[in-house]
Amino acid sequence: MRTLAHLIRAEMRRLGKSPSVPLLWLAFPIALALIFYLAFGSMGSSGGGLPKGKLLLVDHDNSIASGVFKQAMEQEPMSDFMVPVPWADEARIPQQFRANSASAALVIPAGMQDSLLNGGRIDLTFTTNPRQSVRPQMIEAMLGSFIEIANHALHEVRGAIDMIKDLPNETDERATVLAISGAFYDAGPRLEKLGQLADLDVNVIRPTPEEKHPSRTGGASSFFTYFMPGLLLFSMLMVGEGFEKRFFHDVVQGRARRIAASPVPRRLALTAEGISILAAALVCAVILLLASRFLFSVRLREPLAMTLFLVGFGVVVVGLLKALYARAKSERAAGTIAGVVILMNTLVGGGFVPVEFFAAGAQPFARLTPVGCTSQGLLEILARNRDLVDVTPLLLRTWAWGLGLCLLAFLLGRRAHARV
Amino acid sequence: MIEVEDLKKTYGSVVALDGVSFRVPDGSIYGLLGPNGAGKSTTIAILAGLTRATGGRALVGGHDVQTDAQNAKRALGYVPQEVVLYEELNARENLEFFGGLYGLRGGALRERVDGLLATIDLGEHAKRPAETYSGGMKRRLNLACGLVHRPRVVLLDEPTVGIDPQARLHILEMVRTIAREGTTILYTTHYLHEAEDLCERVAIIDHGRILAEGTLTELRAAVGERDLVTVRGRFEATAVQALVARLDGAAEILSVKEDELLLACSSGGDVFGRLVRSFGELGDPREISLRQPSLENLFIKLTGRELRE
Repeated sequence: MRTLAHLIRAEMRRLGKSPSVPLLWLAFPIALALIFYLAFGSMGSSGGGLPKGKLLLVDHDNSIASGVFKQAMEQEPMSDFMVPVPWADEARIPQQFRANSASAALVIPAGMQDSLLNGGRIDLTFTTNPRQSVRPQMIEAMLGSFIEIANHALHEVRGAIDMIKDLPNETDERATVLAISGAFYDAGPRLEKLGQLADLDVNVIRPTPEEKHPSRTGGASSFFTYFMPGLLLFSMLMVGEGFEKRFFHDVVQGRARRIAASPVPRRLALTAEGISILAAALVCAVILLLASRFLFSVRLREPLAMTLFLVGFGVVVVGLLKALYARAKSERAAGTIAGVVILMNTLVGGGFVPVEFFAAGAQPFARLTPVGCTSQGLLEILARNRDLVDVTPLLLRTWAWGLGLCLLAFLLGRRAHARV
Repeated sequence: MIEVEDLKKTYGSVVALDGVSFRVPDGSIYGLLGPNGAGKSTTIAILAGLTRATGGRALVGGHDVQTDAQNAKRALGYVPQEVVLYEELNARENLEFFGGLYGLRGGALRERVDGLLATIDLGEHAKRPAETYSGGMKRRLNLACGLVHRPRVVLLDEPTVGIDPQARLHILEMVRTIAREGTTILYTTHYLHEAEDLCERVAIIDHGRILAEGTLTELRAAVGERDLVTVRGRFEATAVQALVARLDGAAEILSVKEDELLLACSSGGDVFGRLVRSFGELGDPREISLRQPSLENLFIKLTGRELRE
């Protein structure tokens, strides 16, 4: 035990002499986590203000008046915030919303022109896409302003409209047109006085938003509760790989030969390396857990279950990397193979995106992988408040992977430690 | 003591050692000479327990390196050919690390490390990382790391490669010192004068076999007190043979290459003069040199090539 402690202490001392090394190992996963959050974490809570919202315009009236209305929607400043798209099939609007192809829809009812001429009330129907938030609000605000102006304009041209309405069929065309034009002209100066009329009104319908995935319902906290486990496991693999690469470098440089020439048994030297990797991976995990807790308010719970999962995955890291490097011929080849295996494991196991975001058919397979079962176990604890008993099957799978990989590494690496 | 009997090692179809035997008495320095690929490093690797022999046996301090490896390793200090240090650690930390591998702890370790730092003249630099040391300083520390546990047997695998003359002298003096303290040393080197300076007994190894073995006196006698004549230029093979035949056994062809002729000739008489006078018959010689009997001569005589080839 004293020799084991001596070997581990020396390794830690070496690491302490170059503190930038572990920081570099951690930098990649942390940067990745931030990129993830910036790219996906706010999805659904801020649609982004720059792209214009698409407004589906359904015209059941198909009259001159409704045409004028639609044309007005295409003018500035409305066109700065929305793209009106004529839409025939009102029934297919929800489908467009589900596909996230439109931000809102406005339905012009049949009889709009008649109501306008008769001085009756016109009810437009405006529907927002529950999958978006900012763009529908922008369109609604613009539409509200437009309706207010339109109402005032209607009030001011009411006289002219009445004249059109009262026109007998045999009226002298020239005199009538002049009179109507004059009435519209007089309405112009009076438009400044915004009035109290409300002939044109719009009923806004805001359907209840569909249930979003819990990771996207809140801020950073709920996002990281779901995404942190996978990134944490990826970080442990990266740190472990950094350590194993150092050990392999020691082999290449002959330092391992020198230890092999000492009375220290090879299995003890390998055990010391394994414990060093495990310790480094766990330190990394603790750092990321604390960062998640204090920066993103992820609620850490079930410490025993979490510890068992993390130690189990640490054993996976040790076994996987020792097995990968056991028969390596060069640092470059070993690094490349290890990098690919780590990335594939992380991808397939839901390290970058939780397994439950995968296609349904792929999820059981993903949960069989070491990263998949561990990340799912951590997610169940952190996001769904499950306890140790609930996640025991996943925990056993993690440990089975860890012990199996360590056995494989031992078998492959029996003669690899002392290269001549 | 080191005892090696009929040691064999093969890597697939490649025979690295083909029945090597030698014995190094306690407290002596034994030289193992040979060109690259001769089998020196394989012999060292087997003695250090880094690889297993295919046949034969090797004892270090009376312990079989294969059946009693732990005790053999405890008795052994291994100084590899490459500088093998933890570059991030300083001299003291390196020595403490390697001492710790042999169970040294606490005050005994500190005392030993202090003594070694003084011996290798690194006391003032003990707190600097090894990566900042010069080549000579690293070599000295490399050697000290193999001595920190006071081994009874030390394997020195070309410990003076690539260092300046002053650092070489320092290391050779250290080797003499530890030998005087009763340590048994197996010393491999390319530098024949080092072996001549240091070693009481020498073995010449090539292609996995010991070609000659003995004290320096014995080996010099084996050269036959003959001078070694090297001629460079262009030669007619038949003319060379005719010339040697005329010398009635006073000269012997050791090797003939396209542009180099190697002859051993008797030191007495006027053999060298007769050779020089007759060189015009050989073809177009450009250079001729004469060397007195030495270990190098023996090596060339035994292997037909220079040690550095």
